[in-house]
Amino acid sequence: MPLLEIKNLHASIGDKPILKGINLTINPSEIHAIMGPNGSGKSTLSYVLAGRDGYEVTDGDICLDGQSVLEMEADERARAGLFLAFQYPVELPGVGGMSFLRGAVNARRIEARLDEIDQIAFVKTVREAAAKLGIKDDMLKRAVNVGFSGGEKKRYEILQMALLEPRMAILDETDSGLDVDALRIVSEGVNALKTDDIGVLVITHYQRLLDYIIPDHVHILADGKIVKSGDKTLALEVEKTGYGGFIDAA
Amino acid sequence: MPHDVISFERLTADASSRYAKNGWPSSKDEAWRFTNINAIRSAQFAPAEASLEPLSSPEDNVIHFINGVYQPIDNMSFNDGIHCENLSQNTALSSALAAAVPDQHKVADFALAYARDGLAITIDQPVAKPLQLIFDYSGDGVSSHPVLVFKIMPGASLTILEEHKGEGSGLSAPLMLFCLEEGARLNHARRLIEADSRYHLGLNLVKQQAKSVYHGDMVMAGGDISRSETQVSLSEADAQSYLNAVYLGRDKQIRDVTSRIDHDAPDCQSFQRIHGVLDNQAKAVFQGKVKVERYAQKTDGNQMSRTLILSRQAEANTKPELEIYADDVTCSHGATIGELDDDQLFYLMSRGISQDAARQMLIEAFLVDVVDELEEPQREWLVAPIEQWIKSRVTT
Ligand SMILES: Nc1ncnc2c1ncn2[C@@H]1O[C@H](COP(=O)(O)OP(=O)(O)O)[C@@H](O)[C@H]1O
Ligand SMILES: [Mg+2]
Repeated sequence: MPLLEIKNLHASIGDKPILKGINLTINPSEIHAIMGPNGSGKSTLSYVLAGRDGYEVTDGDICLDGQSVLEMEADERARAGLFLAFQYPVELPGVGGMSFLRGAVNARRIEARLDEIDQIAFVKTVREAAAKLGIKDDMLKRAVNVGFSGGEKKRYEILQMALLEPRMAILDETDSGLDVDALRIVSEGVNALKTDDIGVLVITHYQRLLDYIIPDHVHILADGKIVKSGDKTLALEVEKTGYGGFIDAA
Repeated sequence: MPHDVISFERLTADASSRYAKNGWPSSKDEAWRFTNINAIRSAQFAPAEASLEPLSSPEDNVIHFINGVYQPIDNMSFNDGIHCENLSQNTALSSALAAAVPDQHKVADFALAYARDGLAITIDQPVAKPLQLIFDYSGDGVSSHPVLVFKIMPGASLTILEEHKGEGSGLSAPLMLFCLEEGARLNHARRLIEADSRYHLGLNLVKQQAKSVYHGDMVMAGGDISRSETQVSLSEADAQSYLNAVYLGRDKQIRDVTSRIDHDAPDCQSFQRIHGVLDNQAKAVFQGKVKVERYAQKTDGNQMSRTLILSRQAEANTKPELEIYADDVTCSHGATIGELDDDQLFYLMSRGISQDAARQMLIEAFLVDVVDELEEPQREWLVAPIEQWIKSRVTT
């Protein structure tokens, strides 16, 4: 069974149609990349998948493990195994990082009828996962994303992904704002996820990230539609010719 | 600061005749424009009788008030540095209070008019163990009139944990004066957690001399109508005053945090942070006046009020007022009124946290922010009623 199936997805923000018929099937253990110019609807797609209020699906369906998620709130989708790494992670002043991470992990565990995680063991797990991503202890003690640099915020997204162990991970421009070292560390984090049955959707504007996270399939999004799909060589083509030719084709 | 010598008896008699003449504030009084106290005005209150309840077990540095009436001083015990007398026996402090009570202050007059006696508490060295003031109220239609005057001697310091709790439909009208002499420090934590059926109209007067520090931190969580007014006068150089407040309102409750800070000397600083959360049809006002006299150069006066509205029917009013006569000052004020942030809610929910839990986390973060930097035990002592309120709000 496909892990994620996006069928003829149309979505609007207010009265404005943004997604205009997207079809995409992601099977377990596949990495897909979506590339597209600014404003083509990449972040909108990620929000619609994650279940953000205010984004109305006007036609089509989204299925996770064969079940439609359209009636599910964002938190239910997350507990069902969907994870979105935000293009612009949100600052939460006053919300302590550790209690946030624990709250998120426990929400998933309760859903899976597991006991809440032991506090001391959890701190250790977080420290280890953070160390692998080059996240300093001091950052873990601060309020969520407050005072983090752009790169630190992106690493923190990947840390959350590592701790939440999603079934389906969507990464929205995780590469923007990262230097090459950070890019490598973050990519290792994503690649570490790639076990047998996890699906990954990497959204990016540049080809660069795909040198580190090798996609099985690449799709070009323009004006709310997938205008071309191919293998990883498509990304290189975009790099050479730009998006111009693809957009005309739409 | 020599005052006319005024006995406690005379002070209360004068207040009583002013109260008889002027009565209750109304919405025509500028300071009460946003605070409708018709419910209080139309109720009949009988001043509390002396307590008949047995005294609580004596612990050091604890003063228990039953409907505003305190136990005999002989039954109290204090650490070194705390000296407690009846205010009727300390004319220096009753005179100081007479001088400090603002003119034409109807609530102060009401508080004093029915006060039986007060406490005069002198602190003459640093005291480590906090002094607990526990105000327990009960009964319907009873008004409580506790009066306390503190004098913190030069270099002395004290932490006060002041709690107002209890049941019934009574009115609490505490009146307190804090005189901080040179280099004195007072940490004054207050939590107002009376039953939602009660009324609270409190007045705090703070007089600060050189290099003194007043740190006032309040959580106002209870009462149908709750009002807390604080007036600070910074009368000598290098004094600092912090007024932090958290107010929580729901149903048709009314919350009023009023402050006035007089910068009467150079190089003083005042910092005010007020965060409130209003649900249902609750109404609140924060009104803060900062007055900087001509000779109070290098004043640093900051005031920030933020209100979180959880319902479209809730109403927040903020009324900052700066009156500045000096030219070399740094004064700022700001006020925001808003709802929970959708981006923040979505971010939390996208991590699997339920909407209710996400809202709780954001409300708590917003409120705890005000008291987060406090030392223990004050911090935990003030966070507890905030958490309690948030929990009860979601489960009801
Ligand atoms: N909140 C919004 N309200 C109205 N239009 C929006 C909103 N967010 C995005 N859009 C529009 O939707 C389109 C796609 O935006 P977005 O999904 O952010 O693109 P991308 O991530 O590919 O750069 C753009 O035309 C943008 O202006
Ligand atoms: Mg985007």
